[in-house]
Amino acid sequence: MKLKKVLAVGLAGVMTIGMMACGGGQSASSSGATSQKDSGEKQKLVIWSWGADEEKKSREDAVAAFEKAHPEIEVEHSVIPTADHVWDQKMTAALTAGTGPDVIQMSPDYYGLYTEYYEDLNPYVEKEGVDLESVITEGMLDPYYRPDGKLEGMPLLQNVFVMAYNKDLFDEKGIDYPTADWTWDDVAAAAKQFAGGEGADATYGIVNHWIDPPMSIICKGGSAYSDDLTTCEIDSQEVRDGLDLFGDLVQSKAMPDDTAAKSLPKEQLFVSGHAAMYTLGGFETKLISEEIGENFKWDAVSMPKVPNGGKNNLMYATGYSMLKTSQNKDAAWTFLKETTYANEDMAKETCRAGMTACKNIAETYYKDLSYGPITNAAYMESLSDAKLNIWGGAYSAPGDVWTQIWQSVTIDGKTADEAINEYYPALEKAFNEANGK
Amino acid sequence: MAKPRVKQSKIAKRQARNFYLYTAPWLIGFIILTLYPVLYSFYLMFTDMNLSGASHFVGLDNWIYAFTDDQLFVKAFVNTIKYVVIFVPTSLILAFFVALLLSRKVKGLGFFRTAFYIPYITSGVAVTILWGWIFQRDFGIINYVLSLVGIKGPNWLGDKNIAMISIVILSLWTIGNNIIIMLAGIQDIPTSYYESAQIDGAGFLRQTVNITLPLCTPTIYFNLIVTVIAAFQVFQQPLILTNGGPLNSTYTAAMHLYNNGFLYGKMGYASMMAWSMFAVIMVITIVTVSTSKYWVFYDD
Amino acid sequence: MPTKSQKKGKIISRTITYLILGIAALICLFPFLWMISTSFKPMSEIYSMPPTLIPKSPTLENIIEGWKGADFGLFFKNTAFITLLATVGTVLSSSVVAYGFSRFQSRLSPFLFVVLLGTMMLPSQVTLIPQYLLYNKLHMIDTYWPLIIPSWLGGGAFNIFLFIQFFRSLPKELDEAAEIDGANSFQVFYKILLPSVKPVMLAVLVMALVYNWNDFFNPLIYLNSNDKFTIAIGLQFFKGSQGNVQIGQMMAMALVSLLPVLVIFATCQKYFIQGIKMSGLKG
Repeated sequence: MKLKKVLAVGLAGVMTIGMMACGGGQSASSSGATSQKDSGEKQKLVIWSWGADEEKKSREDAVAAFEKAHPEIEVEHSVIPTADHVWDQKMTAALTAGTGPDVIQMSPDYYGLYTEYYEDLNPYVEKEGVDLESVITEGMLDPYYRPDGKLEGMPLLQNVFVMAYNKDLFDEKGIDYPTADWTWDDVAAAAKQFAGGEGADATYGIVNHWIDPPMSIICKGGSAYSDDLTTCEIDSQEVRDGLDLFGDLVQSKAMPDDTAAKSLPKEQLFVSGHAAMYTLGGFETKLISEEIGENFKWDAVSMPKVPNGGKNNLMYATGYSMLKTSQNKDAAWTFLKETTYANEDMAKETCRAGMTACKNIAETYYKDLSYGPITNAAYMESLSDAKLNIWGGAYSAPGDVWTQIWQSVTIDGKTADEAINEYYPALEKAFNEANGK
Repeated sequence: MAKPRVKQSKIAKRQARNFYLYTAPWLIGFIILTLYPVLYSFYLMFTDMNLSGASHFVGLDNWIYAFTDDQLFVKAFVNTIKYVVIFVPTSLILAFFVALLLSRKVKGLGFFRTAFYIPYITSGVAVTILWGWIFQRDFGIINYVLSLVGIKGPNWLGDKNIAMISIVILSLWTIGNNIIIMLAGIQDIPTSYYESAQIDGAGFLRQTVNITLPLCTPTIYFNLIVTVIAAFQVFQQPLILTNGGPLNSTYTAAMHLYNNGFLYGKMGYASMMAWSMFAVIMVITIVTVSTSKYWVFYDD
Repeated sequence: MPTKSQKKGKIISRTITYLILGIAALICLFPFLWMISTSFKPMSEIYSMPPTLIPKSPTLENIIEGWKGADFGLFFKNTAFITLLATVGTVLSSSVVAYGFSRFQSRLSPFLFVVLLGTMMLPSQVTLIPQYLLYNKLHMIDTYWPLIIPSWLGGGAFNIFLFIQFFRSLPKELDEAAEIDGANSFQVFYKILLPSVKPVMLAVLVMALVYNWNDFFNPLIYLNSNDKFTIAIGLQFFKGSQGNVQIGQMMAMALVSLLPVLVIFATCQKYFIQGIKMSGLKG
């Protein structure tokens, strides 16, 4: 402790010299983000969100709506980019040092990775006396409860997928359009008929997408682990079948084989008419429909059915948490509840980036928004059938092993049996470690 | 006999005083901003500290785990060494060669120098994304140009045997800095050497081998050391281009450190990773430095 | 007198030189040209096949939308401020420290030189958290101090090492002559040594400039308020959390943000040669 003090004093001294040397230095310093009680009456609330582009604007406008409704709260809102894991590094540093905001965006698919830092929200809900199920969009609240019952966040929005298809390409080949009754086997059979061409003329049945590796786990009715998150269930016949299906898609050139490369944005293959089908996420409907424009006719159906009636969709959800270090928990709770269900203006802004957690707005407003031929109602259909992103947060390490299995099959041409036999022990071990075993 | 010795020690004292005076900014910065964090991470290396802040002393467990259970640990180092072995010599040879050509009193020197430096200035997220697109197999520009002359280009980023080469190509693109430093080194060579060589009838090739190359060795030495050190920490290019794939063929040590520290939240293990990287770089640098007396030629 | 065949050989070797340099320059410039081209293409043309280098229907939309998309005017101001202070600090402090290392000895100096090199070998991720904790203790989170202070404290081992290499190549006789004329050690430094290494100073200046201008991780970690953000963070705002990239706008803003550095480099690079001639030490 003493050493640290000495160091601090030393550094401060050096900085004074630095300040004198560079003159204009005074504007470099300013008040920190740690919320200190203002002398005035206003309560200060620091909020960190992530996002880029449209997502960023949607967050900013939602917070603006909150500020309008609460002139008594002084909001300091920061939006931080998140691609390439840059958010994780900033968040780790801030949480470790205790310099985080009052309210921080989070994802339920962290699976408890940062749970130590989050306030349990159950008491606030009780005090509020609200029946959350009745005001929050179906299926969106559950993921925020830890297995031990702790409520570690409140939902903001979620996105699921539909299967978009290029009508012109289907017409050209004389293949019937996909229907809601298709299974992944039907998708694969159709997709193979589009494979052909070389280089710039190449055409594919379906575009590879970053949801494919987790999708292969569930597409034949398999699962990665038990619902209580305790047992790894990857080593099953259903999962092997799902993997082989995707391996077959790539080997038959119905799907591009650069599944690891983050080169050309994947959707461009679909947008430019080089691929017949695309797993379209709720977050990109607007962008894709703008890019397609009048290039070709297209539409979308629900994700393919799973034979045994298992979940057939993947859900990417995000919400906000209150940090234990928050100086202003009442204001933080006010923000949390309004961003989730109690402020319809905020919910409307949120709809630009995905399906809002506010049940009323989701059912009366979000549902009717349409982009090109797609209406958001298509996403509402799969609400109860969506599995939360499988390999997020605490499960990134087993997820990275799964990526190896996936790439062995799709790139190396191994069978699912070979790949799973080779990597399963490592995956199970990583999974158990993530669970603290 | 006593007098000179006093004088000697006086000079030594003044020397030492001046040494500490002028290196003080760095010394202070080192002690506060580097030494303290380094000692801290040295301690963390023997703990299982994770994101929740819980931390227990675990002795050498992190090391044992790395060498017995963590298949990626060795793989990440092997990949990194592969990258270093390909990248460092090619970048030095290319940089020297281009600098040599630039030193030949070419017209438009400013243009060329700027052209070679532009990639260095532009490095960052935008350019890495641009390269991902350039490398794309079906619609990428490289393969498009190759297809014009009837060559079917490889799957640059999707083939596990080629992906690392693609990362190296991207890195080679940004060696403008090395070129500039090499050029400064070459231009530092007194012209009188060349004049006397010309009188002896030595051509460009012989001048290069006998004069430029040996007199440029201090600069090459500098570039070698800093390039090796930087290359060992290669991180951003594979992260953005391939995320370490396909099949971990571009997964580097720095990525493993980053993933463990910031994605899996295993701070203790990440510290062990950092120290093992440090150890490997240190050994290689020491070897390089110790060979320098055989090939680096100081002109004094 | 050069003979005819010697003359012919010279012409051939000149041609080869220009040919190689030309091709190399083209390779270096191509992605840059591609960036320019993409910046002025409408979305529908960006991924068109076959690719076009000259946009068929050029547009300024990417630049306008990109500039508005995030607060780039402010980001420019912030980045310029940080870069200016950090670059000045780097050039001054790294040259001074290198002077100490190359001209004076103490019992610890060989050891400290090894330590200096050693600091280059530390992966930056390892010092991140402890440094963050330290700056937090000093109440410097969400200020520009953590981005500027390190530059004034040596400015990085690489730059110091570079200066040392060049100082070492300067004969000590010059220092001694100046000392006999009554110059103190600091005068020797800035009157004799510094003018002799002007090209290196320029090189360090440009490198520090580029580094600070493009630095992404430090501003990301230490700055919280959006109105303090820098260009490098701004560029990341075109890359969505779900993998979508606004590539036209991103390239347009990358291009705009590159221009100041490019102009500075293009003007500075002339002096690289002049500096060497002025020093009068060589040749």
